[in-house]
Amino acid sequence: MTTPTNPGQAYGQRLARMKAAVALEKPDRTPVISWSDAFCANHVGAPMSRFSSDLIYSGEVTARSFELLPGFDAAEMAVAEPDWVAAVFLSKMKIAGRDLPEGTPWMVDEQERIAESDYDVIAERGWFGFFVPWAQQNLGITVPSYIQQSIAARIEGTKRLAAIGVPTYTVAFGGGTPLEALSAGRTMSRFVRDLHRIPDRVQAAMDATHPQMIGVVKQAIRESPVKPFSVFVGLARSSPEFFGPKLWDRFVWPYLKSMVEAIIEEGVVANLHFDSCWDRELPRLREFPKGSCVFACDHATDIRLAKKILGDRMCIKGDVPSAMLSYGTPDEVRAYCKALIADMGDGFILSPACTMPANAKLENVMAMLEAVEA
Amino acid sequence: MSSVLSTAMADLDEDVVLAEIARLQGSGTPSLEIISALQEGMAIVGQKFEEKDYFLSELIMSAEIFNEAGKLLGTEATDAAGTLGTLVLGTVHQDVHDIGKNIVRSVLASHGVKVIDLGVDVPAAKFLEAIREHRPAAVGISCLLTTCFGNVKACIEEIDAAGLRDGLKILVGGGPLDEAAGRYVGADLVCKDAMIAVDWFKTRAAAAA
Ligand code: B12
Repeated sequence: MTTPTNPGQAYGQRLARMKAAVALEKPDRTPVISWSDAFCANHVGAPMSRFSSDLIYSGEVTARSFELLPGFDAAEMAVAEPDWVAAVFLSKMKIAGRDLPEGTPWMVDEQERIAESDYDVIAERGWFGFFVPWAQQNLGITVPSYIQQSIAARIEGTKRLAAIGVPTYTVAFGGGTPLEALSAGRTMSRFVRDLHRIPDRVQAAMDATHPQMIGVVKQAIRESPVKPFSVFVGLARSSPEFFGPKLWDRFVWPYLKSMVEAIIEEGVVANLHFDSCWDRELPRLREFPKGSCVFACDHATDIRLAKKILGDRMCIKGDVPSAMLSYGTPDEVRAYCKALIADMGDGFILSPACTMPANAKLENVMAMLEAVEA
Repeated sequence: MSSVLSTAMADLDEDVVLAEIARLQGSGTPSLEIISALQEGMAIVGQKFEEKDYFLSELIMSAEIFNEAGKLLGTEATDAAGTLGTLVLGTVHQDVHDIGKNIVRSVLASHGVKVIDLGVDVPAAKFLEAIREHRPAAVGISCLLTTCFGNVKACIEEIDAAGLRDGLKILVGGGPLDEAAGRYVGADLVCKDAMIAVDWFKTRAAAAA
């Protein structure tokens, strides 16, 4: 398939391909996209320190990486925002140049940063009543001005990509479950203990948080100057691999369901970026309307099982394994992708499992891109 | 053997576990006997996990209770219960994933392995120091990031270069670390889960007996 040289036409062709896949129709070929993250810095030889700390620059570097790899149909995210990623997990980020040697990808510094009593504070003041002063005090992040900067950088990044004919696939507005942030801020082991010892207090905090998050996500979609292709719902610790049916039904599903429904109500695709193994609860995801979600898996879920269970309801995206992209050979990657494309049929988007590893080999990335060409 | 204790451990009832330990200690029950009741409970936890009755959160919870119980019993007693041998364990330098490592720690400890946990983001020098100090049967390196496979390899090379590999097995594990990666880093055994390491320790003990 030749890509038009005119960026506007290329953009249209790529977008149409993704739309067809999401609508479970037949695209002209399998779309292939990537959340390239720190890989972009390594790929174009940009200093990791600046890539990790300068939002606008991360967008520039991301666009440069995609320009060099025109086979991709979309960039999953337009910018990299490690400090913010950590903040929403109530954590600090260590980044190159500031806390780590140059060249090192960022590292979440996860510690017990909130106390048991903070559940009650959240229940009383709501999430933002807790989070805004907390982030200022503990992370030195002024939430409102950070969000302004972040929105500006995302818009600029999205435009930069569009100018070279590359759509941006998703945008994160805070769509998830309260469990993700709380389990990170408490640490997973403390959090699990809290669920056993003080479940009602944990739930009260979640119930105070979630409607606010839904409000923020809805507002962000409405106010967004460019309508996003999809909105990110990122879950990892909420996965059924971590929690049995009893806990999952109480502490994950109601929040997950209402968040996804809210996004769909706003007329955008819900990007179910679900790390870890979701096999057990795949049937639940059938409850969402046909063609309204993409189930993105990270090689821990059995992607072929996902196809079997969800294939007639939603598009599936994944899942070239990280280790294969970093340490495998182009032949292995090509064979893996070809088999996947053949088995998944329409309603499928090829992508790395979760993010592109920072140290993926360029020849392996190329092999992935070649695999979609018949 | 206290069946109240093993049942409470298996049911993840922390309050009962801690109260029962205090009661047993008060009545002069030897620590090793208390630990073996706890281990019996942990074995049931492991079994329920295999049967998909329990999930990771229950394994994590059992680890929490086991650690709390360990505090009441003291390190001397828990060390003495490590009859299968010693494992020096840590997450490799520049990697902070520790959920899996912590599960490995408690599963092994509950099967009679003495575990020296070095934490996360552990530089090779710390592994070397711990090997020299504790003379373990094995070193366990957890790594979930492909960007850190090189650090695992370098760590193993340093262990070799320091002449510490003789009679020492190197076990590695972590989501994306597959057999091919295991060969790349130079490990002896890639462990998809904690039980593989338990089996290794058991086989080794049986061979020595
Ligand atoms: C939870 C999680 C996190 C949490 C970690 C919380 C914590 N305290 O551990 C947070 C949010 C902090 C995190 C951060 C990051 N993560 Co992360 N994370 C995960 C996730 C979703 C689950 C890991 C987990 O806990 N699994 C559950 C445990 C029980 O499984 P396990 O660790 O594999 O352990 C079991 C076995 O493997 C084995 N085992 C493990 N180690 C050992 C050792 C021995 C000796 C033995 C015997 C056995 C053994 O036994 C365990 C029990 O059965 C995985 C995805 C996945 N599916 O694995 C990604 C994943 C590991 N993360 C990934 C990435 C990229 C990152 C970040 C770089 C993201 C970013 N851009 O910021 C950072 C890096 C931080 C750092 N420097 O370490 C990628 C790594 C891929 C790659 N490129 O290498 C993964 C694979 C997701 C993906 N597909 O892209 N992450």
